[in-house]
Amino acid sequence: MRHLLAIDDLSEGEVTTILDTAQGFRRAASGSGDAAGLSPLAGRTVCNLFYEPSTRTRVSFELAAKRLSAEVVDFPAGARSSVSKGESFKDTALTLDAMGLDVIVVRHSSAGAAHRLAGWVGARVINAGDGTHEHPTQALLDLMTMREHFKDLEGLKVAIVGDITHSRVARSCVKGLTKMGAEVILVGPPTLIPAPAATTTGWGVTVTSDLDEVLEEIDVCYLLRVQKERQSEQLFPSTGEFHANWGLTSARVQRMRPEAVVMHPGPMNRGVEVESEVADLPRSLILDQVANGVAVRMSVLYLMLDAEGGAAWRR
Amino acid sequence: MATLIRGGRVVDPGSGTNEKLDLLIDDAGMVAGLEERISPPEGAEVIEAEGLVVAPGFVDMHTHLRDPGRTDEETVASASRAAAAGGFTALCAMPNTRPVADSGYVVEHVWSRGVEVGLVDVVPAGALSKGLAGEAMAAIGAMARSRAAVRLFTDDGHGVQSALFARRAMEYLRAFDGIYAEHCEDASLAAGGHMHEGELSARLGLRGHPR
Repeated sequence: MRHLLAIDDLSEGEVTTILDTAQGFRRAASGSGDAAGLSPLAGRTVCNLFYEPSTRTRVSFELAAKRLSAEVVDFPAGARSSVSKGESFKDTALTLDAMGLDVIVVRHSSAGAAHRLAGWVGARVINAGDGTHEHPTQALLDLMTMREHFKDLEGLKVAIVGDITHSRVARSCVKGLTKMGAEVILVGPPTLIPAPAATTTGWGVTVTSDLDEVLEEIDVCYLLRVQKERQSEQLFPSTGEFHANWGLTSARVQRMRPEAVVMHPGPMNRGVEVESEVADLPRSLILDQVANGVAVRMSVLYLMLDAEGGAAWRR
Repeated sequence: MATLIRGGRVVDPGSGTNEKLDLLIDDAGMVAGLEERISPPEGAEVIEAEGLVVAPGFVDMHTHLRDPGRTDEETVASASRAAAAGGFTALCAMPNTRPVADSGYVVEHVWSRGVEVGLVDVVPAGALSKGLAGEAMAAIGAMARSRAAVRLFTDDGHGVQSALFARRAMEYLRAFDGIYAEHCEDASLAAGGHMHEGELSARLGLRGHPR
């Protein structure tokens, strides 16, 4: 694997390899000191090039790299960098690359930014989120979490609920889940679901605006954050009405199957897409997702950089 | 109790009916017979309709009941009486009241007044935008799920001026099986007009709405 730009580029076998390897890193990922012996990436340098704010993704990439003994350069492209002087994305990337980087993990507000970057630099590139296009490691950690819980992704019924139109997580998850044989249902107000998702077969999903109708048949209720700013774009009347119709309330969660789980990529707007108490229920896997994020990112870095890991990849 | 309406002229454009017929209604309120002569069943109420027109109730899709806010002009009661006197059994009430019918509260108020008066079916329409301002969406889902069970939504009185707002409202309404009804008027062209723009408005010196 030279770059990881989109989950669309991976085959089912490649996804399985990443998840199996991540499972092996699970204990090391938890930072309990078990990683002390691990140093497959000693002497390597990973740069976090983030043009957008991030808590989970940025910190978990940093910890993943460090737990494999790599060096980490954290570059938040903001007020303290020359980006504020007007330096371009390309010049910033070439400058950092010229200092000798092995991997650039990039998050940018433009769809396709990671692909462009991969064409400019010598380093390997991991897409940590490009506009509303893809966020491949998020989908991978979600697949890992579901596989861990349900043993098999084939035939799993997953509802993705909320603002699909503006979500790179939704797009990556749809591609990842359908690739692994799961059944995906997109749920939300019609103004927040791209019309082609319902009308073309290319997406491979079903679409509904009625959450209550699908609640009892799903294995996973995967919630997406609804940005409060979307309200001013005339996409729905109010967050109150959004919550009433598409929020996962306690009443709704009780109607789900006992084995069904709740997931969310974070950050959450408690009280909007999810009722506060629901996020903290035992069947909410939100924190498992975060923990698996470190393991999955360790897996990706390892498979990308380590000679042995590379061999596992080519196998 | 069954009802027999006898000797009237039955007019029903839907079925192309226009002739003197007896009409029998069963005790469930459904039409049970429509023939030249029907004998009244045991215990049925008989209404003599010689010289009268017998028709399905008319529906006025566009009425202004002025309640809440202008009950000096009209009330649900006065409108219901006028409607019933003219053979209208259902009224769709436009939302440009004061306050505007852009919430569950106002539409439930209008609906329950209709039930209280009890003469005709009062079916409230809901606004598309808050305050009819054409900017933020009204509480469409709340109105659809209220006791008024609103299905028709419109910014009647103002008309939606933004194509983007119209698009978003049409998309959003699908989640509630709603109908989008447009007051077709471009405010930038029509503003200040008192009549149609044409020969007469030109002669009178009155500003008109261009067509």
